[in-house]
Amino acid sequence: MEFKNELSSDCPDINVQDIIEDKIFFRVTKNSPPSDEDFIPVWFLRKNKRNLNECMSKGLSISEEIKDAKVLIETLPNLGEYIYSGKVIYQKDGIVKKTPSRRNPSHRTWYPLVNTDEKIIFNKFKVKV
Amino acid sequence: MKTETSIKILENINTFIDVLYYDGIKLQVDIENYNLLVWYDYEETFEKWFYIKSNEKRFKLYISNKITLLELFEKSEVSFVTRDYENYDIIENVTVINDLNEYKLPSEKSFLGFDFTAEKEYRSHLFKGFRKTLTYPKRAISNNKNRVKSTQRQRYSNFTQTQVEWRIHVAA
Repeated sequence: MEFKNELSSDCPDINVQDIIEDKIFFRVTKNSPPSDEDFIPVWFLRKNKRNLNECMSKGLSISEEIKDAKVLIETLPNLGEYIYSGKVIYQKDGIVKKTPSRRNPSHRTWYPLVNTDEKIIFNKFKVKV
Repeated sequence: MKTETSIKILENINTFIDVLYYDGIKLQVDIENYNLLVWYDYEETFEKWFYIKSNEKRFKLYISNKITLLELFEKSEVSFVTRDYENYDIIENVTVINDLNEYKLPSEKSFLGFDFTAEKEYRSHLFKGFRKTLTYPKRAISNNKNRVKSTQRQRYSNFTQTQVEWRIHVAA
């Protein structure tokens, strides 16, 4: 399996549970329709990598529940105004890891494969602030 | 507008907890001093954040979904700060905001929506991987449903058992 972004040998972490079903997830975007800019992992946005968990920040944050994505766009206006949904096919589109955060229990981390076009997958408009 | 000296949040790092993560940490709360750090935007070498000095009453109202983040902004002292990636635990260029309208603010629906059921799920996920390191809550909580042992009792007397567990857990 060849991932789009260069990952270290222990990433994605095999100790973190995979989502093995094909599932619909939600992604906050700045653009509508989404563009490549909306799918750059935080690791590659920052020049300085301090305080970042390398493996997690080389993946993309997505939510399994739309209500959790809504909290994000209501709370953080510069994160993005839109929520798009997309069905991620296990292994064909990459690997999704179960990485809940305290207020975003449905938070997942997606590692797309080299030929995956994220904006084609996340193409169903859901919500605008 | 006034600029204060830098503030080392590292000094109180045990009381700051990450609440929202989405492509990086986006919201941190200081559970001892009732302050919040809310992410605002990225720059190449630093991030912009809001630093909110709240009080116990308003902080608890926000955490328990009674008021929105926007209401908390309007009733608290809000500063605009920067966090250099090199020294992420220090907030710098603390500029008190006099006119909130100069900034993009949280919406009128910006409830934290903290769900304690979900918190349990989150904790159970954590405990799977880190059971050995997170034994403190078990020692600190008594079997009595609404009471907490020792010095924690006074501090958390107004919270429910689940809330107390959460606070002790995150501070540990």
